[in-house]
Amino acid sequence: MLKRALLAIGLAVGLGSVASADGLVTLQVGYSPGGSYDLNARLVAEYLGKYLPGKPDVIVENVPGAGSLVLARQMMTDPTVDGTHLATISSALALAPVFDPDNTDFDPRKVHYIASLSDHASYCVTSKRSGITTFRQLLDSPDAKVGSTGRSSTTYTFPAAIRAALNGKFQIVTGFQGANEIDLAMERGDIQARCGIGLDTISQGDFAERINVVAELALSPQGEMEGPAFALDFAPDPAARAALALVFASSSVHHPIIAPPATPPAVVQTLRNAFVAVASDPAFIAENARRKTGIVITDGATVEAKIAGFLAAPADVQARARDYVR
Amino acid sequence: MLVSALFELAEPLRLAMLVLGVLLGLTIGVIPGIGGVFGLTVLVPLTYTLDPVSAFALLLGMSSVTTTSDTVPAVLLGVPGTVGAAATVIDGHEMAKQGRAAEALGAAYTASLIGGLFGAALLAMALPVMRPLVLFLNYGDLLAITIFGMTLVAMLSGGSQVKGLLAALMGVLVSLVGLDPYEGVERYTFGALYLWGGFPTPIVFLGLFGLSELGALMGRGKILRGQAQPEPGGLGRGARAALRNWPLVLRSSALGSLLGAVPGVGVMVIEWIAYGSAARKPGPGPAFGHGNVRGVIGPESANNAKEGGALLPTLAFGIPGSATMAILLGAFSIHGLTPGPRMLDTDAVLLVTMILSIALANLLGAAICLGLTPLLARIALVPARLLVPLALVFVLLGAFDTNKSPLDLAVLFGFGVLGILFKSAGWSRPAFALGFILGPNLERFSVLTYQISGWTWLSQPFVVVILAMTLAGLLRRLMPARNDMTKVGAAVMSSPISRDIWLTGALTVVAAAMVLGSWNLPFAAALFPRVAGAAAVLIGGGIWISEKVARRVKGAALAEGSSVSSAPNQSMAGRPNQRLVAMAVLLGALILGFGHLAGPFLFVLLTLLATPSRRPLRAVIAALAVLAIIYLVFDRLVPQTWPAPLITSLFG
Repeated sequence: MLKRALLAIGLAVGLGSVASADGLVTLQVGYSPGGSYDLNARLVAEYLGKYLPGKPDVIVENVPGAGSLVLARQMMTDPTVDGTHLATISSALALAPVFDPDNTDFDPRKVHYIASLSDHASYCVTSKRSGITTFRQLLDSPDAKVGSTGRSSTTYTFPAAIRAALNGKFQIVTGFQGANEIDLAMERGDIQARCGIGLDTISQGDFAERINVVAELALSPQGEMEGPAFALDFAPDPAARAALALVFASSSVHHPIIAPPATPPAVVQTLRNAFVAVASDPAFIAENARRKTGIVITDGATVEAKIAGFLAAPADVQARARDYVR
Repeated sequence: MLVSALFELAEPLRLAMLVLGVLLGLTIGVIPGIGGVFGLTVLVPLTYTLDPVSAFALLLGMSSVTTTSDTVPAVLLGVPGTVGAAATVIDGHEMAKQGRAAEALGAAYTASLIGGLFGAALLAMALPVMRPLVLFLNYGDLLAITIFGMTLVAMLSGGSQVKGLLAALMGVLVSLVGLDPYEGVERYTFGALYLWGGFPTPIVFLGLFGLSELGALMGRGKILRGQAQPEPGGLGRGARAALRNWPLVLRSSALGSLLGAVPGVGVMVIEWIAYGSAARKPGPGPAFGHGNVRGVIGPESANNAKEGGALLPTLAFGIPGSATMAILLGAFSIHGLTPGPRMLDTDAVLLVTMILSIALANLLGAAICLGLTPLLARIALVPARLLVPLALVFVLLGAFDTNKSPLDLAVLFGFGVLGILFKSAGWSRPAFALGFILGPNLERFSVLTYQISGWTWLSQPFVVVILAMTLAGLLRRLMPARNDMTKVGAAVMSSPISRDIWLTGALTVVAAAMVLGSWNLPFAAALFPRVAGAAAVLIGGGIWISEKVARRVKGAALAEGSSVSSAPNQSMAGRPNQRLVAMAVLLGALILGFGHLAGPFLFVLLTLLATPSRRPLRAVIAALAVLAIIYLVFDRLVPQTWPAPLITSLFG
């Protein structure tokens, strides 16, 4: 009996160690399956393994929660050093030290940015039935309601900053569970506008036919479409423009991929090179076009330099930006 | 068009995809704890490589039938297979105890099938008017429906409606843990990141219903209660019961598909509202909660009907209401399809194949489940000492798979103990579940409605009708409720004395602590916890005082009897539950210590070797079988990284 039990325990321990040493790379997504963060991560994961030492399988896992802050905090304390654990989190978290300086839960200067998967501009749209066709009209409409999921999301911070900096009169409605609920409420006429929407969503189906794209929210005009006003041009003075630009800055490092703080520089470089290689892989390029994912891979070093630039903004600009979204 | 759609779908690869989707969906449904998201991670890569008809057959095949097979563990073990089967546990499992498992399953599958077909048919009819239909309900209407849903607590409260109300309020309070939807501030998270998203619903339900029913199963020694024997011909009787109750099936299906079309409502809400509505007219047979077949038919028809409705926002506007639909939309865009009414002209055949996929998946799913029922129903004869360890393995792994955190297991055990306490004190777990499910919606819809329409929502015609119905229902029950308050003292005399008073006291203290704990929250975030908490404190205090008074009046007469009456209760309910909790803790420790493969293997081996019959060969075979299933499902089907077993850190 004892012999049998010992045999079983031996077998079990063996199985346990096999299961934990299977040489996978995990790319975790801070959002639910099916969203743009998830779909982009899954596409890149298919090609990434090819360019990593040992050609490991890259698997995607979803760790949704609090607009990806849950995953971001987990990454801060993750002990992995061999580059087998990557995550994609909200781009807005790159500016956490500006907007939430007391909060040390996530520090973008401690983790390693490996790449970003999008640098598209963000937009403000209104529903056609609202009758609001220009950005000026939206700013001046006290009855217009802009939909938002929660105060930490760009669906709130972007319109809140616009309202504060550009003296907007519109209202912001918070508490929607997701962007899809905002869009449906706009279709229904409950609300009239949404800010912080990407090109991928706008070009989905015939959505573009039912909305007016009234403003582009970016650091410089991206020229992705004809028509929308450039929001920063409405700033009353340079100080307001600089602070508003800081709020919009995160859209230029969209869909970032990060590695834990403990990752050594050589491993970080290997990972960054792999993403650069994926960007020029013809099969990836073809699939990116076929799936209409619109991924634009930016190297991690560039991403990190951009973020350092944003965080080095003068203290008064940072304070003003903070006031805008409060 | 129907014929050409049938031809499209009849290609071998496409049919194979449909069958694959159905088999995957059935597997996901039958294993507790893992839900649709699990399946999606399998399906996403496949979806991008298939033609649209095959991709939709696969996706819809899977999502249409998880709510068919999740009935199996719900009925046989009292463990909901997915969150969508928790309401089915109440009467379905009770029927199994009475030897009517086959009848419950027959009724469930038939109701699921009709519900699924109804959803598909409604989808077909709704296509020309899909846009207005999807926009039909606004947040004011949803708020009214949620308020109506909350009043269904009265139907789910079992013996005492005031206790049911307290249980529901506690459900609401517990559901408010996490980041609030308005300010985004932490509520009752104690700094734990884990609680930011609130308590995970699948784990709460596995604990509340699953663990407490497994404890009771240990106590009985087998699924059947006392001298009950499996009744022959149950399958046909169940199917006939579903057909005989066609008005209920159609009403629940309509409710399921209509609410299914609203993103953010979810299958749990649909299921509980369907259960509560069914309970309003219990019909002949046992009371609700005591094995009434209508308690199975209502929710089962509603949760399968929702799939047809869920497609509507995606098809009408290209706005996905769930992760499945988001992936479906991804497939749309790859294949150059544009959602919207124009699809009726440009892609009519494809639309019909989608509707046919839902219908065929439901037929196939129901047929497979019906075919397996005679075999499954025999599980009722397997001794609990074999069944419980095996079921525990999947309950714990399903819970642990949620976040792969030890806290998953802690939450499971916490709600397991709460479920056991509720069950043994005769408190309503369904009322708690209803509060837990509807609480967040009540808060969110109130906040949104107020911001969007102020108080004018009260003048919306649909809101007026629903609220009038709700009020009428409440007034009708006002008299019994008042009587109920005076009956509380008498009723509790028959239940375990000290446990009941302690439970009331403990819940009241928790509610009071939550009210106090909201003092530093911003007003918008504090409003709901304060209102629900204050109501809970008032009701809890009322029950506690009235019980005390009632006891004092009869105290002298019962002074000697009380110790006698609590003793058998200890041996009947107490010890098996303690044994179950001990087993669950052991299994949890083994999973954390030895990993998700070796832990369960060891656990099954040890518990089966510890049974009186002690047949080593059988124990090894069972342990290896469990190991193989876990490996196939959790490592091969969906490769994922599991936390390193603690034992490796000892040696590494």
